[in-house]
Amino acid sequence: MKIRPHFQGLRRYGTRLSLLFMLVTMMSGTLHGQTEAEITIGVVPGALKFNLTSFEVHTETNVTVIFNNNGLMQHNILFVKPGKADEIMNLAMAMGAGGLDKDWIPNSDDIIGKIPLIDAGKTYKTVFRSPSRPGEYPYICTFPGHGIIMRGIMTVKEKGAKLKTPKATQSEKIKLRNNLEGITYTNRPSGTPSKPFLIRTYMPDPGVSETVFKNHGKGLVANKYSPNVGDDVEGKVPPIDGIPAAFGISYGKALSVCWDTTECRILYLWKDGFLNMDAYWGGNGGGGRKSFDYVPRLEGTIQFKAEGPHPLRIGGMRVTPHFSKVLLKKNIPYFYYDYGGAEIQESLQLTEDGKWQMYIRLAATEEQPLAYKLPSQLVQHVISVNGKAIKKSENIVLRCEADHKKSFIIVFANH
Amino acid sequence: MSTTTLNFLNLRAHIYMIAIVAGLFLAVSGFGMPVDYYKVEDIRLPKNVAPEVGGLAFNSKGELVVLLRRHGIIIGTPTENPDSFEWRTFSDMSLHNPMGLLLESDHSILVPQMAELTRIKDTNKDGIADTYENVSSAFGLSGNYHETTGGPIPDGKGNVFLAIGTASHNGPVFKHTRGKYSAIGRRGRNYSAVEYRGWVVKIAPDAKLIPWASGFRANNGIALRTDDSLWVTDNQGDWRGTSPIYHIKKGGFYGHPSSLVWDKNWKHGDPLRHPIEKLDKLRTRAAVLLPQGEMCNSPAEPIFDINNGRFGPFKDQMFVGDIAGRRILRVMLEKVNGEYQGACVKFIENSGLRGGNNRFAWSPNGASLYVGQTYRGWGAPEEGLQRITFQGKTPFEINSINLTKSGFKIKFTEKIDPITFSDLENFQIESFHYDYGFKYGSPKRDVQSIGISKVEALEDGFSIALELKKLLAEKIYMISMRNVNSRSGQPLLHGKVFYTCNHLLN
Repeated sequence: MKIRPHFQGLRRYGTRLSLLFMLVTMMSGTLHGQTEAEITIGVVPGALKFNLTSFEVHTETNVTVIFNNNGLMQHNILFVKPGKADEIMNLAMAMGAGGLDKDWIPNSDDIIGKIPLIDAGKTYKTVFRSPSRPGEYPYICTFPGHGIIMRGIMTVKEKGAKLKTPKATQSEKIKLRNNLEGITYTNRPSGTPSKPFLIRTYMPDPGVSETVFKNHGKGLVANKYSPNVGDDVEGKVPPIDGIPAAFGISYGKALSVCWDTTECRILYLWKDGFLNMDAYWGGNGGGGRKSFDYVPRLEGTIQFKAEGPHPLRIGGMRVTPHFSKVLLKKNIPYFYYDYGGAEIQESLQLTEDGKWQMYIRLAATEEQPLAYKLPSQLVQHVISVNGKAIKKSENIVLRCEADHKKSFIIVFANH
Repeated sequence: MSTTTLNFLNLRAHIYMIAIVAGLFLAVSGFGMPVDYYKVEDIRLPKNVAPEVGGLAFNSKGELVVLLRRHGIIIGTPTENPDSFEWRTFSDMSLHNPMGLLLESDHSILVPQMAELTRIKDTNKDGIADTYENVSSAFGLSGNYHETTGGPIPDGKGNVFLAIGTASHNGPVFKHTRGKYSAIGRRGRNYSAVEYRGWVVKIAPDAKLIPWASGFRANNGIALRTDDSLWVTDNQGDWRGTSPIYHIKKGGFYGHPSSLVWDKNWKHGDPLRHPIEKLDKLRTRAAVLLPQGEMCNSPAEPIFDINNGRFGPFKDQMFVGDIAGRRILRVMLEKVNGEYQGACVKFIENSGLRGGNNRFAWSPNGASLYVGQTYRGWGAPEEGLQRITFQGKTPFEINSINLTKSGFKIKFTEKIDPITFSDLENFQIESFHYDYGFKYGSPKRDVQSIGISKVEALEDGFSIALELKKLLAEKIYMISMRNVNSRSGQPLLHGKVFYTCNHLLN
């Protein structure tokens, strides 16, 4: 007979957490003549805790533990003999730098069940036999730093004893060791059209064309290195997507911008979202490094991605741009850069009727004229340049003669 | 992959930090500064900001400028009541892991970001920053979380120093890096895939970058002493047996090899394949080593006591915050044969102090040390702003320690009890050293109990002379004093001191 008492309190916890739902079920009964129990353990979102901190099984049961690592860090789980949690935690810590290679699992007869180090987002199943002696058997994540709080108790009871239904936690308020109560700040910052939000951070790279990164270095696949061996070991570490030195700008739902200080241009535009900062900022309470990278995740829909070399030419040539500053004029950012001695300003903003416009000011050098060829993917959305309506098929080149200054306002339809 | 490493920290530090925190659950620490001498207070920050402090400074109006990890820069008017500071926003641009600030004026602030040294200005003087200038982006950024930029420290001649950290193999590089990429520099545990990672650099007023000193790993602390000597703290890890404090000289190499790929005078290819013995000869040793697990696990900003007694009896000494522990250390320096070396002792531990002790500022009246705390997304959050205020009463502490021909002379802040200080049973001395090499951290090596041939109370009434049976260079000496009192019967508050003895007296 199978009994499947679904734990109580499984309920919707906001759309954000809905994906992180952990199903904790317990199955106990006889299967093929054997006593069995099945337990699912997850992680409390935003906290360094198991979502299930206690459960009960009978003696000499095959316990199936499914670890659904819905957190954003790596964890293991060791089931240990009564009173041995601290000892095992300390043994794991004492493994030092070599611990990682062994999933932070020390050699010890006090370990009765184990789940190796599981990457975030991954699930792992193990089966072990519960002890013949009733008692409280701790389980613990021995990843250094986790073991003090990331713990639970498996209570082993005599056969026939009544078992409690396990109860999982879905989230918890993070307690800060400071004097501020109820502090709230979001990992999804955003701005408005009149007060855009600006951030310097590693920016996501949603597949911007290789041809754009002319002024960047090229990160390569590296050999894996072991500090124990002091040399390269088997394995490769590939470079990942990301923009090292760009601005993210949120104008609210209608427009988000990635403006890069190395290429001095817009790399991409998107809407209906901005950035999820979890990977960089960590949990809401400030703690807990969240990922291998520190790259925020892009949310929303990409509207434009840059392609090809920089749209600007000076005297018919392309040069290396140099970012000089950003000015906030009535909260709107204006990016300034130097292009072969010429000063360029760029800004994007939303118009009151929901369109967006680009402001470009070219201040050419004494000797050289400037020409700014508007990217073709943008041209199709142009409504007007300096108030003059534009036919969609036209090439748009903004020109400024030598020793001149010229401003352009290009209005785009907002699709 | 390790997923719990602080930007500028290391796994080992984490382990020890947790061990220390665990220790708190198990036992009440015997250390700690009684509140009679120094008061620790929590300063209330605005409710809507994450209390992750990356920089602190007082402006000319006596307002406290606080740099935050997510929320830009806020300015508070200090009050005696730690809960009633009034706060306003100076800049709400979210900066990229800003780790220090320098006030050029009340309207111009230099802030190092991961990719850039930025000048943040309020040009129309309405109290809100409106201009963010790129002062220098002449150093690279590969996309790794560990590549911090700290400082800026002015040299008094218009230049500023920056401490540029290496990347960690627990994080990635990007396909597109800011600055040129070196495949050789990318090798290693902590690595230098792009320019000047693992360096201290000087930025001239014309924005030119001058590479100053190499060999750093996680150099999350840089300060200038009143004698214009430059100091950098670094974190235990690869090529760091324990966390060091270095006195920096131009052109010096401070032990972590990866940065050498960006040294134009380096002609030996991959620095990690250069013989360790040769690197060992090339390096400058730390002036002071901070034993991991016993003194400090992740040193951050050093600050020198310039307050002429208003902060207590430790004039000109260095204080160093520990990010991975609830403590601040005190460092006593001296010159031996023309080179700095010295000792560290705990200044304050627990007593209401949080961990995450990252950045410091002296209050304008010199009686308080403001402590900005952050874990940078790492471990259990212990973050915020605290204030440590001298209460006017002299604590009984070690005031200085100096090497002698045959041992040490130790001076205390109060007259000593000659009876307890003449009992050899109350003294314990050990010598040891750490390995230099690619391994992550080092156990103590060659730990020896050192016999004391004589302890003598000196005529000034404040000092003792210890004569040791054995005294060697390139060793750390742990001197532990227990059951020793001041003449008025006060016990010594912190009796364990570690002296880094690079050189013996000629």
